[in-house]
Amino acid sequence: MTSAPLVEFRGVRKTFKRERGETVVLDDVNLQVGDGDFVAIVGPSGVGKSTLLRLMTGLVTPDSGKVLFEGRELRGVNLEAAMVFQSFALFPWLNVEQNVRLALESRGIDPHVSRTRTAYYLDKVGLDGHEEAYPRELSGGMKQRVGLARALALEPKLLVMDEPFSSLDALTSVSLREELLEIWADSTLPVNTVVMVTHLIEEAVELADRVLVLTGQPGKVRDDLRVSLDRPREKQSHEFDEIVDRVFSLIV
Amino acid sequence: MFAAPLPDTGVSEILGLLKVLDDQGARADVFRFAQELNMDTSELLPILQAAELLGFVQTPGGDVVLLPLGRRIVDADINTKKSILREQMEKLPLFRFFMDFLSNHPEKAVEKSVILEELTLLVPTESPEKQYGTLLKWGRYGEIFGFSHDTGRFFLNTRGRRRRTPRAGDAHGLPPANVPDSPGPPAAGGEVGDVGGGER
Ligand SMILES: Nc1ncnc2c1ncn2[C@@H]1O[C@H](COP(=O)(O)OP(=O)(O)OP(=O)(O)O)[C@@H](O)[C@H]1O
Ligand SMILES: [Mg+2]
Repeated sequence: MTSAPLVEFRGVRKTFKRERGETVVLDDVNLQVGDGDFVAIVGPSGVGKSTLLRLMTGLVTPDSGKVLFEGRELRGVNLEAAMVFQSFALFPWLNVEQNVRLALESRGIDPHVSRTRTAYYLDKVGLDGHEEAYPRELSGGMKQRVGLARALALEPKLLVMDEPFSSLDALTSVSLREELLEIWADSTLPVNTVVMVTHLIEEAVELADRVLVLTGQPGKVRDDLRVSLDRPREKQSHEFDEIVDRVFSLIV
Repeated sequence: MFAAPLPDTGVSEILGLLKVLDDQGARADVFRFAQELNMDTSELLPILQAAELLGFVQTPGGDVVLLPLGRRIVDADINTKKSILREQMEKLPLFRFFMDFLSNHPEKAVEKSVILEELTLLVPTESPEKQYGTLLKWGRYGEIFGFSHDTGRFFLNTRGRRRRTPRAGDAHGLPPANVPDSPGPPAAGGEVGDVGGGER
């Protein structure tokens, strides 16, 4: 057992080169994500939310400061993290099963293991029966379930999601949010910790234990709100509205 | 024989609708419900029709009301949702027809064009391509039908149902009386019994 948080940012600064000079996207970002947390990140467009997720997955490295995972500084791609994308990012020429298996086998997982694991996680997201389907045959909701199964199948300690439901219609995202919460709460699955970017404050408050509010240029963590409403959450309630209003007032 | 057409929508939308309806106290005015969802009533309509066809809601006089089975599927876990949907789909005449049709076929599979021809006769008012698409989408989710690109054939999914043992029921207990052959728990208190690790 380690007492270090799963993810920790210490004074993280990230700049990107521009045609002339460079812009500082994130500056002096400090945050911690504990094992078992469900953290939502909200903030205006361009504030650096996706960049923050990529720092956690090791796809981007900080210019200064440190990104630690389980107390150790991240070097290179974080193999303990898996990402779910807004655009699903499925290979159109591979069927559902092949899409999930490819992700596993490209991480060096033995084909025999990858086959049983793929079946296991497709079942967990309710996709049994879709093994042979191609992405073009699937609705957005089903594509994102494949995206979720693919990430879960990697059995990551950290699941990062970048606006996973924002290209889905309202009702479809309702059902996927439900299913995500079920999967997160399922103690038989290895994934306990979720960090999700969203532009919907209501979605953040419905799902997360903590809402990190990113604002400014460069972006900083403006606030870190704990959402202690009981689950399943009553979206029609006064308490729910209050938290939504509070987050909203921090962003505008 | 004519059969009721399948409304042009998917399982995700149906489940989302039931969840929102449940959150709103299980009864809503259809028009206001659509407004709150920022949807056109005409967009909502096929989803409502599908939910009604499957026995999850009723729509008396401009309202939509969640039925007990609708409440049950909202509360159920992912795989129980799936089996409830399968049971309900299996009662639909269109599904029954193709289940019989395919099981009488030695290979339990036929060319897509055969299905399209049958659909033209069964639901002459609808686009057979669209009906086919919906039949396949729903049928895949219910693990009743599938389509193999390798063989180019629409098939009866016998594998899924034979392999699947009854799961622990949802957290809210007994299978409903109106669902025959419900995969309810063999004994009470089994809701945490689905550890799932056995398949790994
Ligand atoms: N690889 C890159 N090269 C150059 N600039 C980049 C790169 N990635 C991001 N940026 C810039 O960094 C800033 C933050 O981008 P980021 O995508 O993290 O924001 P975001 O908060 O996710 O925005 P959105 O809400 O629109 O998704 C933007 O100005 C963007 O143009
Ligand atoms: Mg972004």
